[in-house]
Amino acid sequence: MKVFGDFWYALRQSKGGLAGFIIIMITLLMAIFAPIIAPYHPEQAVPEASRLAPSFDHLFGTDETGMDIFSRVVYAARIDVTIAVVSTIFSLLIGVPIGLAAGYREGLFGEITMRIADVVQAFPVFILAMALVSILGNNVQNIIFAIAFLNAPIYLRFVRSEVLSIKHRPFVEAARCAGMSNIKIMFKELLPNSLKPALIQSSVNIGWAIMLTAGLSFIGAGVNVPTPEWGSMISIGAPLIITGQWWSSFFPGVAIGITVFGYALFGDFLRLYLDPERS
Amino acid sequence: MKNLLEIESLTKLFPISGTKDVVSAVNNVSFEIREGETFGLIGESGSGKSSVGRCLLNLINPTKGVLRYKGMDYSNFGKKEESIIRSEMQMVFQDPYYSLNPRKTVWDTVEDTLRVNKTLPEGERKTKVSEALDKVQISRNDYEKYPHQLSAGQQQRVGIARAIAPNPKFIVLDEPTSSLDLSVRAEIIDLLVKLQKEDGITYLFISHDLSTVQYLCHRVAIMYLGKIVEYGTVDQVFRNHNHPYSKALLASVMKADPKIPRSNYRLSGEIPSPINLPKGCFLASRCPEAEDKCREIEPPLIEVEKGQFVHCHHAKAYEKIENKIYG
Amino acid sequence: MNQLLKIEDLHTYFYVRKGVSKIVNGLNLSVRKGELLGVVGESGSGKTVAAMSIVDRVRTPGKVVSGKVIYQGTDLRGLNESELRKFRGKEIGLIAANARGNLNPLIKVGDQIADVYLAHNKGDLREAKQRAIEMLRAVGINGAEQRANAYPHELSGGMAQRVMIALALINSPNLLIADDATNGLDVTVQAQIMDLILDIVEKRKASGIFITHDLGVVAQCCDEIAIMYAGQIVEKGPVTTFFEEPQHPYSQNLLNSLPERRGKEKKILLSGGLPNPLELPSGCLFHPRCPYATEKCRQEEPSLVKVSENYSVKCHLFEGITEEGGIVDEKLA
Repeated sequence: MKVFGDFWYALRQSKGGLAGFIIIMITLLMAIFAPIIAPYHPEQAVPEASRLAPSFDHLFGTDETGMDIFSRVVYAARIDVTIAVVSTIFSLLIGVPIGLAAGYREGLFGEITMRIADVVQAFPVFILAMALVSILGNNVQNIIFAIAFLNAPIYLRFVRSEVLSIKHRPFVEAARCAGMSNIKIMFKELLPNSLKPALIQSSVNIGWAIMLTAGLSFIGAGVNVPTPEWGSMISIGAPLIITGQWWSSFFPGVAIGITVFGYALFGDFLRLYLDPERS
Repeated sequence: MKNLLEIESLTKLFPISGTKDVVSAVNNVSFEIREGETFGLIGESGSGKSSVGRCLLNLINPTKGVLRYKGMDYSNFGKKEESIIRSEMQMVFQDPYYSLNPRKTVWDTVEDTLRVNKTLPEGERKTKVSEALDKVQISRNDYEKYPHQLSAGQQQRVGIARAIAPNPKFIVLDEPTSSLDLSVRAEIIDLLVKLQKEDGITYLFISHDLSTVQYLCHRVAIMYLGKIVEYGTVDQVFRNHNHPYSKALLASVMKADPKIPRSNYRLSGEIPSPINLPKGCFLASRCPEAEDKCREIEPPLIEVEKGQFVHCHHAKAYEKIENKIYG
Repeated sequence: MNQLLKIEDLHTYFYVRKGVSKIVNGLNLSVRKGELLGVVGESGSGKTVAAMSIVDRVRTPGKVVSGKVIYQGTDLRGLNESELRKFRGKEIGLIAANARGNLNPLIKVGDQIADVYLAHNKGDLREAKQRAIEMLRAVGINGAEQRANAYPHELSGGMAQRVMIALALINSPNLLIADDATNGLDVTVQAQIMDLILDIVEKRKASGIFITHDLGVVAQCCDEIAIMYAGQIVEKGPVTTFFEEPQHPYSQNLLNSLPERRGKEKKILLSGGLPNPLELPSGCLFHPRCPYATEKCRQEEPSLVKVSENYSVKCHLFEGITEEGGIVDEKLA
């Protein structure tokens, strides 16, 4: 409870952090309460209402098949935010412990893990994501696994590098003097002091994950039509821009932009908040 | 007085990755530490004194040598030996800030040391923590503070509280006051003396600050490039020193008394690298008294007075009375 | 004029987000020709900032706010940068601690010394390099010709410190300021370096200010001692007099902290630390910790009182001592 109060206080001091936090909350609320917020069913095609400009009835207009863009944008939050947050959590769950071990043990284990991380990171993320998804199949689960796998090396490196710089500090020696086992030392002494860069990066990465999902969907390797997803919505709406119906691509694009920005702002705030020397 | 610790031929070599070179941090060091005493280990950089301390607690694995605690050989550091050493031997470190986990409060830092002992009930554990913090005079208001909110003196006292909480019999003090201001140093030293009087803890005091060593220690060893060059009681080594290095070291000390002038005894050159040491006496390249013999043959250990030992070709053994009568 | 340097009422403040950090608070100091002065203070006493203030090396957010730095009759504070450069590096040489951190890591040490020479002397590069090598030899570096081509990180701590000394001395300054010049060096190397500095200073009849926290260095190497507390000089006088009987309560505490003086009496030590420079106490900056503090101490800052011809103490307890001298006050005996 005390930690929460402390967090809330710090948040209020930081304009950027507060803005980012609000944006994140909005996207989460959109995702959870989509059925209540959205006026129309997101996948109901109404051919008569196709390509309508934004109006009171349809805040963001309609797309080619007559589906309400606003409702689709709201429902799409479910997919995008879920994929981004869940994949990032999995990424951390994979990358952090391996990074801890690689940093603490070094030796052969450390070398092998770093080389594997090198290989994974050597591929352009998008290409590898495309390849993984096409092998495993286009669905939300696989997209989550693909993104989680591709991003894990990032956290692995951050954590490992922090561990390398602190593991020789006397407080770690003191823990060994006390008789703490290596596992205990890794998780109680090293981990809390190694997480900061990884957590900050994860906040930014959530934004990138949304863009990655959007990109995959844009080229058809992501979520299937007609499931609403910001990226695929931009893709579907792209041909309409030429004929003047800018709203189909515009609003999902703005949604991505604001969401990514929000997570980045929050990440910046975390950088200051997680500093143990903050009074 | 019994021997609490016996160190025999302790050697520690650090191989340098990628080469065949080896850093000889500790070279064939032997001495004993008696129960209840403060044994001082003096040396400059590269002397190996910190490595010796860490070998005693198995924070570094000795390359060779025998370590005995209360007669028990713990060189192999098996499970049984480990549990005894970890509960009866502790260490206080040089840098007060880095010796504390920046994310732990004062209370947690001390309590976590005791948590490892699963047989200790929670209530007793908490009592031990507050007792330890009381002994080092950390007030209750500071229990929830983080290291960066404490002064250097307080940080060091927390480090000491952490070391004494498990009621150890032996503590290695690795330059505990070198990073502190003069007035804070005095506080910490007073505290260490008080703790020894109250609880009978044996100390290994590692330092390069000769005046503090002289004040605090009963017996002392001077190290150079991983070897002990001289050891004996504080009186013997400080007033009646024998080894050229001891002489140079003591001559270098600037006493805070203008009436006591410095002697001119100096070594030439700088401390050589501990990689690939020469044969013969390690000091030969810098020693004003070096002869050919010194550069070729390793100097013997000679007892120049009862209990005072020197590693030097020029040292003269004292005549044991018994030998004279029956000899 | 016998006085080489006179610092009058120097104030240096740092303007930070939390407020104004007052590091030097009315520093008064003087050094005679050929004299070696030791300035002793613990960490945070403002010693380094004071040294920087003398040679105008204080940069934002720090600023020398007021006071005079009179070198041989000229107030250095009144000079502009180009005029000041004539003094810095020529008349006044500064040896900073942490040699390797203060040397340019990208330039060979010989070249760095040559550059300092050329900044103040006409001549060509070859001549300057030659002088640099001579200087390196003079500071006891063997194989000076080869060493001149080394980069700072290739040298040991002791050697790098010798290079700093060479840099400070290349233009034969009349005043040498050594700020913690042997910090972090091994005891035996420290002895060699101090021998060297003293030898050179004596040979060139220069004056020296040795800033340190080590009372031993001052006792063995200096003529005069000044004790610094919270950016002020609280006691100044000949070294022999000081070590026999320090006057200011803070000085007494410092000396009582020395292991060799602890003995059996275990004199009581003061608690607490230096005052927070963002919130200095009123009146005498030492009064919150002083066992003899009175109401006057709380309200009024004491001035540096001359208790004898060459000895001063900044403390209310010494006011009322007349010109006849009489150093010891019964209360402090």
